[in-house]
Amino acid sequence: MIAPSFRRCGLLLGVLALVLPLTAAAQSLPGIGRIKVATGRVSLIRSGQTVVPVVGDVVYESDVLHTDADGQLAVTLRDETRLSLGPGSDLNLAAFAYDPAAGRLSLVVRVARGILSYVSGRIAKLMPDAVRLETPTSVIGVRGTHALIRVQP
Amino acid sequence: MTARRLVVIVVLALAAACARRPPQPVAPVAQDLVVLAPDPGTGEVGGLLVTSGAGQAELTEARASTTVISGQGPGPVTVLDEATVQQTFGAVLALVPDGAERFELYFETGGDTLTAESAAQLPSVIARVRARVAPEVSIIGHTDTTGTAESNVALGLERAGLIRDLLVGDGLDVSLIEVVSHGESDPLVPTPDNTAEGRNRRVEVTIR
Repeated sequence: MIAPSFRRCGLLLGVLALVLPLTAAAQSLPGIGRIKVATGRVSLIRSGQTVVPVVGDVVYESDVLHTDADGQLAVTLRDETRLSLGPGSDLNLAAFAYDPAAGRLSLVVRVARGILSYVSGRIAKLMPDAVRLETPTSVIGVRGTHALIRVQP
Repeated sequence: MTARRLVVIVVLALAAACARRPPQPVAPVAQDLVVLAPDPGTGEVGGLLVTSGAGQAELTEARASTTVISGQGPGPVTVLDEATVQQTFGAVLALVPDGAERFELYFETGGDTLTAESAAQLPSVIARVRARVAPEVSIIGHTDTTGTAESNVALGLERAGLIRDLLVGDGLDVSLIEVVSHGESDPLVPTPDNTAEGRNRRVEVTIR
């Protein structure tokens, strides 16, 4: 069932784990979540570059998600937070940190306009104060679990 | 003279009436509608704290809402009916991705051999990964307190790695799998040191 090469690999990882602290034993993912729904005209702005996101694409901290009047997007973040965006929306994944072992937890989402559904994940469970949903006029703190927000700028 | 005085009084009265009228907004004022909804999976209702300017509104029951107008605090909390929530948010509610699914797989003592029961459960775990849209998987390896803490971190990683390799073998991209070992530090059942405990020899698989 297990190839000998994997056994050697496991041994190597084991040796590494002896040397490194527990948190460093985690293989961190490159992104903070994945696109689960992308329909109609949608775009994603990353470091000034605009791309068209498709289902399965990885999202990163500071990404801005945009939907046109016929567009919809949904994302599941690494801590199991679920964000869904209706048509005519702009959302910035402003800050994300999920490292429970190191106590680093943070989620800041900014909605400039449009319609957002937020379903909380592990960050809100572990440290509710670490989660902030921001609009141009309000800051929304989350005690769990499901918020619906319409922003008319 | 009397007529002129009358005109002056009328003009002054009109001016006063105009001055009392509130200024008309020239453009639509920015506003938010914030609604607390039940959890789509469990139906659990949490709470939201809406802060704007100097004001705050606390939403604590299902479909409780507040409207925030730019420059003012949050308006009074009102409970919306289901139809109103659906009218505004129905489309976005239909988009909410499925919640995470968790599985626990158990191991024989001292190595990375699954128990017969968990080995039998494995195909259904793999089937759930396949069934989900754009899945990501978190795998956390655990051990009981037999052996040293250091060797158990390595053993937990070996157990988690076994499951990872099975998922990769089934076609899941390795970059979508996060592997961590908690060694003996996070037991399901707390025990003294050097205690064999089957419920602690496990791997937690979370599919999201």
